[in-house]
Amino acid sequence: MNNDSTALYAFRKYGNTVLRAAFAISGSYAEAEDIVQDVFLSLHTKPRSFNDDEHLKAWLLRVTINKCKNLRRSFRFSRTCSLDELEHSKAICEISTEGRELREEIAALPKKYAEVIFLHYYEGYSIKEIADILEKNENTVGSLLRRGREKLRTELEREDGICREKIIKTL
Amino acid sequence: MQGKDYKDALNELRLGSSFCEEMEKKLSGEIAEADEYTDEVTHVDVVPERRHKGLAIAAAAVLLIGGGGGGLLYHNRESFLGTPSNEDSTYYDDKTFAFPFGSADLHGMVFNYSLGNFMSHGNFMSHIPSVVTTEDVAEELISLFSITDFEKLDTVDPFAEGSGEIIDFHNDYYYASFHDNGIVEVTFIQDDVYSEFYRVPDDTFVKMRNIIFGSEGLTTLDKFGIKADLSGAQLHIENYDGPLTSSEAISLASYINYVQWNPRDTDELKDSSDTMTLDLESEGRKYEIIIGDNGRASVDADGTVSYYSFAAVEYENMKSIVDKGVQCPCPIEYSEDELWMVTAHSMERVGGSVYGSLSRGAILSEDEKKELFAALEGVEWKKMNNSNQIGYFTYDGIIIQIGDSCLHLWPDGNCILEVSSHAEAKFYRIEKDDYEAVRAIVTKRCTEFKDDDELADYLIDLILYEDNSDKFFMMKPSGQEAMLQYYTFETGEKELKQLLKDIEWTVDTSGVSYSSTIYPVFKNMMTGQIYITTDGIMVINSYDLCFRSKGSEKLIAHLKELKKSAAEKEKAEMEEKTDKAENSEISEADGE
Repeated sequence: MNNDSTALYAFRKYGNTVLRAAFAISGSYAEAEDIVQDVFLSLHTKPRSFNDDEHLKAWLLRVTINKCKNLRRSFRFSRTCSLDELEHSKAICEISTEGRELREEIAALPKKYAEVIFLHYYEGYSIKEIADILEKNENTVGSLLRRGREKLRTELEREDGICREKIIKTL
Repeated sequence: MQGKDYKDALNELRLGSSFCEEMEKKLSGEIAEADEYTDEVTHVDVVPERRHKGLAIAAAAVLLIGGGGGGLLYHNRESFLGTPSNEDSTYYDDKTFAFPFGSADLHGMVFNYSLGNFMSHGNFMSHIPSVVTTEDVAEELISLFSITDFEKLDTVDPFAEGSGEIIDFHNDYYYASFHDNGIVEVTFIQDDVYSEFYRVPDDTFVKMRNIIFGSEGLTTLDKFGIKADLSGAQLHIENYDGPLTSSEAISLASYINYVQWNPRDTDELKDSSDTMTLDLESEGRKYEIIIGDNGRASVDADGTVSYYSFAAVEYENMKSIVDKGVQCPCPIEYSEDELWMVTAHSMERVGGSVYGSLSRGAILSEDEKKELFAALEGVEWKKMNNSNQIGYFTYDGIIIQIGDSCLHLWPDGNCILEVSSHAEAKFYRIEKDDYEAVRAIVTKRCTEFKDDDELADYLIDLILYEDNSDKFFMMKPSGQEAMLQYYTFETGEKELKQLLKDIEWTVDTSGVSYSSTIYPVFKNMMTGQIYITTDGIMVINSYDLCFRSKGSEKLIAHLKELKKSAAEKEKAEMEEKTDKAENSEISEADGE
């Protein structure tokens, strides 16, 4: 009889979260696809216990960040998110294209800002929590967050159209 | 910065359904060797000993699909449904429908179609792609569900007829399966796992299917230049001449459409030893499709014949879709020497709308064995080719264990005979009336049986069976979810067995809370595991039986000590290995 493993449970619950984290940090659809596979297969091959869902999620995000870092060290890595790449992906689908421009900007964000921006604006972690996760000084995280936000804002100001106006309002 | 747009932009990305299916298959499979990608994460604490939530979830999941753990499913639904922790937070508010079991965003929702048996969790030979709903489809579904009466069911009839079609979707809170017999099975997956059941009007399923998968129908054959509805086709196989059933037409159409057919110049069907033939008509034209087990096929369209080849392995798959079985004698033999044990499983309402799984068991006397065997001999048995049509996890099954042979029978007529000394199981099908007759006998025996301790001792002997070794295993806390990591004890199995048998056990059907430490021991994973909790409960998962005891302190202390020493020994070995590796590195460095 089948018993759902932690990895299967984690994939069902946090598969999309890991995908989005991987994309935001790696800036590549193809890499995000690989990372999703790697993260959950890692957990599958080396099962481990967690206190609760939050603990599990924190672990998954930590591993995702590690894997993104490793990819950056590899020759394959380049921060691109071409539409072709998405269209050829079996793993990722776009529910709507509305946020496509913004996703391009997210992907173009320099790597050092991508992690903190994601953890803060997507996951809602505080600066202290991000500092714990990334093993960085709180002041450093604060600076990265501020500079990352400014960078994103500057990039968006260069863009035309409704998307730009809509996004800048919230920055 | 509010970050809403940032979040929204990322929320528009979602994993594709085919990728999810593939991943789920991989993650459901056996654990492979650790790969190169495994990262060490040292600063996210991993609790060394978890308090069995994983096991509870695993047991609950099994229990929901008719296996068990003897444990009951409960938990305060409001406690987690009231917590807005949905990962995919409602994104398209105007396309969200408030089902009585919880809201779901129907725009961008992935709907899967499968064929299985009622209350089974199978996906038999279905090659129908999942559908991600568009905005229009979401609107149509909301219109349909808005006028649909969802009647919450207090009880579920496991014999409810249906042809086996299922449409399902899930979000972070629940899995919802709409069966073609009007039953909606909702399995909540947060914090704890349990099911609720609803009934919708008879025509809802077809309307829903047409909206999501298209009104053209899932029975359309679209190959060999033919576009025709297979639901009217006549099937000719070795032991059957007659129409395809609805579920066969759907499965076969999707499978034939899926298989790659390569045109050939010559007729090579003559070399086949088995064939299946389909006769059908479409728009006034007659077609005959003959498929052979040698990977060759011919298609006759109004007298014009063309030939094809395909991967021969697909023949068995296609044949299994229309497998009618072959009559055979009763697959078990009467044996005076062996003890016969029977169990009857039932799904019962526990409280509110929560269902739990209960089993009772019995050891049969000689007269009772004869009575049951006579009933089994009177059954019309059909041997099936393979497992594709079998619903493994159906509720309200019975088990007949004779020696190392274990016969499972389910209300849908499917049966599996497993012999622990043989690797392969055998599959049978019986009539539902026959099942009910056999179940009535088994249930009566289980109700009347009073010697719970004899039953417990029988199961202890069965799982920790006698052989030349004195070896047994205990699952590690971290291995309880994956069932694969365990401590090995080279000696002590007989002592453990004696401790277990010395205890006076009584069957417990009140449910188990997995809040205490648990010791899962086994001798061979195939013959089952015994879970013992510090509350003095023994759960035999494979038979869905649960026993309670008084005076199990000595056993618990023994198990605790065993686990502690095994953990310490393992830790010492790990440290020794690390030391050796470090010393070796130092030696190498010195050498350089």
